[in-house]
Amino acid sequence: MPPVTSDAKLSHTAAIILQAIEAGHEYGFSVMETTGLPSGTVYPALRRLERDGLIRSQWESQRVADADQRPARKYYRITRSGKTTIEASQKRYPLLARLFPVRAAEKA
Amino acid sequence: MMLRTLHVAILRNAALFVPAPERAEWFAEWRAELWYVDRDATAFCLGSFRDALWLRRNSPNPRPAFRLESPFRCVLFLVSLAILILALALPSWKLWLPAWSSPGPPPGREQFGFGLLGMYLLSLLVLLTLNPLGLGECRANRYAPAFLIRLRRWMFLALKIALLVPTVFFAISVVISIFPPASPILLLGWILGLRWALADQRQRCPVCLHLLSNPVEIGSPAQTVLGWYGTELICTRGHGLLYVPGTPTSWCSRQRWQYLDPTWSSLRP
Repeated sequence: MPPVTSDAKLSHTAAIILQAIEAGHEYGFSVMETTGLPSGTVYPALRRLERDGLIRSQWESQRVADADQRPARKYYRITRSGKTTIEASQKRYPLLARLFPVRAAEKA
Repeated sequence: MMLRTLHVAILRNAALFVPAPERAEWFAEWRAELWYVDRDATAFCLGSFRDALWLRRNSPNPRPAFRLESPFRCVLFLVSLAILILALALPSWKLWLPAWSSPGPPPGREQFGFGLLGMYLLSLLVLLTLNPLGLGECRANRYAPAFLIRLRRWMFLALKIALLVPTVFFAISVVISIFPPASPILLLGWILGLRWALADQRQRCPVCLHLLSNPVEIGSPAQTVLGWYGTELICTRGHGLLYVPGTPTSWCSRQRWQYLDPTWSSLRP
């Protein structure tokens, strides 16, 4: 894994996706629905963010998924480096923080 | 139900591009996500190809199934290929040989030989206009091996070319079932063969002739104004490093080999 620096620069698309995950949209399809980006953009971006150590993925417990009668999902969560990066990105793209205000407010 | 089968089939096809160790998890994730998609599922599934190709390009262990890593394996492969092609081309030879050995008007053996030589030189000329024939900079320093060891590099290249020239000639005669093969196709075949021989040689250590490994990208064109950026490869036996420029510039137009001094040996397993 390449070294991650807190001032890592993100593209606008990657910053939107990271912001969506920070706002609580923790799986690929939810990020797609929230951002309006196509699957061919969202999933490779998730891989890239995970490779750079800004997010980490974890499979949901099969027991929980079975109880809800649905397949288990892979969740993405923001890491400490990711939080630092998103703060830097919000300075670079000031409107970013206002993109997903409701869930971000709930989280806060 | 039919549509759902089609979507899973799209995902299965895209999964073929994913490196094998990651394939099962990748497919499980996409299939799970598909379960939640209620509209435009086909467009959703088609996006999986982009994801799969990204993984293929960025996989940490992109190990090709067949790699001619050692010089011995490379020569063995070329010799085996030459024998196989020759065996396949033998029936065409049998048709031609009696015409050449029979008495009567000369069948033009000399013209045929000169024609082949001319075509071979033409293929070198065409290749020279397409890309440089050089193998990159390889300046000898005090850590460079003896002259005879360095000479092996050129002998290896000559051997590869010597094996490729007849192999391509007979392979084309087999494929198009005409003997001798048509000139433009033979010319193209030789150009491709020579190009491969040179590209393969540029990726080898000039000392041990093994393929270099562990490519590392250094710098980025977006962030470098006048600095060097490109790829660095290393000989796993510790003979040296190869620097391949990302974009040829006036101060670094060709790849450059650097011999390593003995202090590097502590880093080797």
